[in-house]
Amino acid sequence: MTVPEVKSTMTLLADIEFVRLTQEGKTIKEVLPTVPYYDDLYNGLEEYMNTELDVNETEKLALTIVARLAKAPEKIDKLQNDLGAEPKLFRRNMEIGQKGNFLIQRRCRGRDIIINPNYFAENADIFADHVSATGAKSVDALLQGLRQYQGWPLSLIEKNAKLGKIEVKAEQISLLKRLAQDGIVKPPSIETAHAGVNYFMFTPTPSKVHLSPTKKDIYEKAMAIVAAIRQGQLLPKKIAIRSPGAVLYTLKTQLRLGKPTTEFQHQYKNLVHLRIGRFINVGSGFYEFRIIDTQANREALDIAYSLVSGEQIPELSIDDEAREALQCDQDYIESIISAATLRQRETVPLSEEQIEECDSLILRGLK
Amino acid sequence: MMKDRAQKASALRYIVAKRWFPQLEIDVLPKISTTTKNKLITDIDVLGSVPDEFLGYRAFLFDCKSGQRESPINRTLWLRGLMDRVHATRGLLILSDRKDIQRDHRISAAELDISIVKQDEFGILANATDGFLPVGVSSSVAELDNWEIFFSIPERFPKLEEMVTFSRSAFWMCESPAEACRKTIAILRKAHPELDPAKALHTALFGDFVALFLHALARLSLQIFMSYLQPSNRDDLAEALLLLLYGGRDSYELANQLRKLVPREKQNGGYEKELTPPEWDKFVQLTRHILDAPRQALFAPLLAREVAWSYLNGKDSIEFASIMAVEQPQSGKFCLLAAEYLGKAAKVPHEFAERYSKQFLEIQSKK
Repeated sequence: MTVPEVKSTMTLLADIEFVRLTQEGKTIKEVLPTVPYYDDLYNGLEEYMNTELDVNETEKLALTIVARLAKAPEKIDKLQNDLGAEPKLFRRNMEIGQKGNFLIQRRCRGRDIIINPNYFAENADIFADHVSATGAKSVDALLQGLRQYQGWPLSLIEKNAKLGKIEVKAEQISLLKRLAQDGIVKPPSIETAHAGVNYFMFTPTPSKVHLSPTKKDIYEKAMAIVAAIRQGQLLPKKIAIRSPGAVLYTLKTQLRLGKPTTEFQHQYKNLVHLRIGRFINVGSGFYEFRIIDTQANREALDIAYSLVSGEQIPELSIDDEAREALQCDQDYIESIISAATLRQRETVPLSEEQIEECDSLILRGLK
Repeated sequence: MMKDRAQKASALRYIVAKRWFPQLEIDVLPKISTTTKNKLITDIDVLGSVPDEFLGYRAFLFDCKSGQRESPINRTLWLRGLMDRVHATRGLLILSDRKDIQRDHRISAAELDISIVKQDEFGILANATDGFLPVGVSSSVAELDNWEIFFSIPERFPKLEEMVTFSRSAFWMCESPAEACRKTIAILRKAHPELDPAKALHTALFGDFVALFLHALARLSLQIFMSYLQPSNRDDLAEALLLLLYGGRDSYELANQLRKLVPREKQNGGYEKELTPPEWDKFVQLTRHILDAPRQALFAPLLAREVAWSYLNGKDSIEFASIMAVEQPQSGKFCLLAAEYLGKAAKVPHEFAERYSKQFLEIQSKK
């Protein structure tokens, strides 16, 4: 960086109040970093962007593209036509997006598909393939439906060709089935003697970038809870749950389900495996389900409740552990660094495509 | 436009009528190349793979010359050299009617396992050896026009050139069935993002790879059958197959070690899988099915190619395929299973395998 570049960067950072400058005339004497912690970091940037900064055409286009791809992946040429963007500008945007990891490109059926990894990181290949075959609208419509009916069982969608009250087409059902059968990340499933194995469908899990490892576990627990409740609501043996919201509310507030039934064991078995709750034998073949009272389980119940009631998922993007680490003293940081979870990440794993390429090379072999 | 068309067309019809597996215009490449550009040695006009229940296939070379310049015996000596190069057991030299052939030269050629015939004598040979198709029955593979359409695929889809080149050259240069088998999967897997089931030529190309894969797998399965017949234990079969596929224990261990050097995300609680081709369980299953009728499996590649090539001209005629399925009742099943395996292993869109499965089922049920 040249001196004028450093200067202009510093002035910009000072404008957003990320640094404080001590100046003598035009010369910068001292820089004091005051970068805010996680949440506030984005607030500050947003404020600066809204008040001080004129978004140029390239940036405006990038924002439009990212917002559009949050709904469903799209074919690149169709996206370009729809947006009516100037080809050179559009190509540059694609290039920056991929280098900056906020866009990924996949090639399926001879077409280039562009994906927003924040929303479609897991099973990106399946989504890309489906978009190339049937178009983005079908995926978008399906995901909108799923947002309204999170955790709906696949067998019921298939049987009625309906997701809740929304009609679904055969091609959309085939996408759901592929996600359940071939997906790298499979939706939660429950096996019962009376209804067989059932998959419970959710909108794609927010990506690793968006969701820190600790939050990801919580999100998975929440999906398992919703799946268990939907099982009781839609595929019961005898007595159906009438209001899933009410059951979740009871679980959230009382941390137990009051009326024990014989169906409990199958329905909530997964939750026991995930250490969300446990069964207490209350005699005569009846069990009561009790939540193990931990912070993570309480959060999972909150998320499950909002998934069922169709709210936006709260506070997922903040990693509490990271925030605490930044705010606390040295000891705490060291204890985290030595934690087993971080030790496992010593080597950087290759991306899926790179691994596939290596596997193909070995398969091909020399002779 | 292909040279010596009439002679090649006769050879092709003869090969198909005999239920051998034909290949036209094979580019013969050096086994060891020291330059970056692979320089062609020569080409084989027509090759017929003759099923042999002990050896797998014997190669039969047809050399077609309609010109006047070369002497028949010189051409015979050249063909003998080519036969040795590609391990062919018989050769047939088809010459122009105007060419004068010395009787002693014919005998000398026969001593070298080569027959020399004039174009109008070829009919006598075909009639005397049941080498003609029943009246009114047409075969897609026996149509020279279809071969020209197939070879021109890269002009319309440049990204599929490697597949077509593999089919007409690299596959036939493989030293062992194991190498051919692995490379067929690897080449298809590499090209999978380009393949679109909505395009008939792509569908034909996928089907052609099913045929090549079966050509390699039938030979490989025969090797296993000759050594172990039908292993009663799944693990015995899997181990023998795996080591054969990777060229023996030493090269398997080496490839496995190389693969383990590739850093990847640990799955299933850190348990690392040993090296296998993709979709290994399905591969073992398919091989076990073939061991039920290894001789019939040798005819499956022709059936697969016959069905695949009906997509080249859009005629969709499966008459000849149905006749073959009657003659070799298990071959349709092998084609179906191979298409399903290859579709999964190479990750091509599922419509390819579904389409072929349906067709092979139809052919089988027409009996």
